[in-house]
Amino acid sequence: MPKLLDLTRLERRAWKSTHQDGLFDVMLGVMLLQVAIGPWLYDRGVPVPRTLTIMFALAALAVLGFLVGKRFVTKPRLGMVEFGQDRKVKNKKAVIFLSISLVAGMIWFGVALMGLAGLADLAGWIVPAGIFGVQAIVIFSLLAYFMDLSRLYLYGWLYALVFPGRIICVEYIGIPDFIAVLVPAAVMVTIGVVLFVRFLRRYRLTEEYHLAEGTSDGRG
Amino acid sequence: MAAAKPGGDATPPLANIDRLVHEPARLLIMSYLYVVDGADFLFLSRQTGVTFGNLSSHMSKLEAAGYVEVEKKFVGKKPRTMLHLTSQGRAALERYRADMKQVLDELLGTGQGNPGKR
Repeated sequence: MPKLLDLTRLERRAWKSTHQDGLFDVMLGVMLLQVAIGPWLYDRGVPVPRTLTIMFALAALAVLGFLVGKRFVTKPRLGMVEFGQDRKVKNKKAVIFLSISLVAGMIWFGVALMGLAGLADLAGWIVPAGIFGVQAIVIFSLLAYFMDLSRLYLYGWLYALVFPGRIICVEYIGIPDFIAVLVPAAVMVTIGVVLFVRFLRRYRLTEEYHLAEGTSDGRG
Repeated sequence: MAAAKPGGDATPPLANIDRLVHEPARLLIMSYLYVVDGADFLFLSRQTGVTFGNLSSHMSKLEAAGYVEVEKKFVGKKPRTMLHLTSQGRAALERYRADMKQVLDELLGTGQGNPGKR
């Protein structure tokens, strides 16, 4: 007999609905550009401090866009919800993993770009690219698990394929290396934009919302 | 097949069903409030598909029964009403689940003793 009331499924549905606005996907896509733009700038002779500044600025822009979107687009359309303790613990773990991955990524790039990892030629990128790939898959798989968002498994692989893709683009196909970054980032941003448009069409701002906002609950 | 005897074994659990919880929209509202700490009217309306007017009406009944607590607070300068299930409401929903399971078990003949199984 099916469960009379599947409360776990209901909670997951409520949680997932708060992530169907595509903002997280767009943020991750821009983050990917940010992570990969470092070597691209480095190859073009941009000084390391300026490269790191651009990377940080792009990351900050992605996070800012995400927060502003949540505040001014998602909440007025979807409403407010406070999740239970189990979800809060899961979210905390997800934030910790995401922070670790960001900090590790930035340190790794800082070290790599300062020439401590022997990255003078493209072949020198193979081992760091492998390490970055494994790191991306592990971090995103953990994020997908803790956040109950299965598309993050795909994003882990997209992140992981950036540097091997860069090597393949230059060494074997002979096309510009930025395509290896642009394609996976574009996939993520496209998914995000499609979700965002669907979200806007599904959850329109209504008079009822303004009424509820003005009078607390719409009960006069 | 023998006709069900009025006042027979199946009647007591059915009579125990909390009618306030049993109404489909209220059941959905209470279920959502059971799995989250709190939600506002808009979120509940979006999730359940219940209009604001109906939601307000159901909420008044649940509040009167002591199942739901209405918390008014400010987010920035804007007023916001958050709805929470009380411990009494949680107990009512858990009791409802147990009662309904018993009723359905007996109806489908999957319960202990299996009296209704053909």
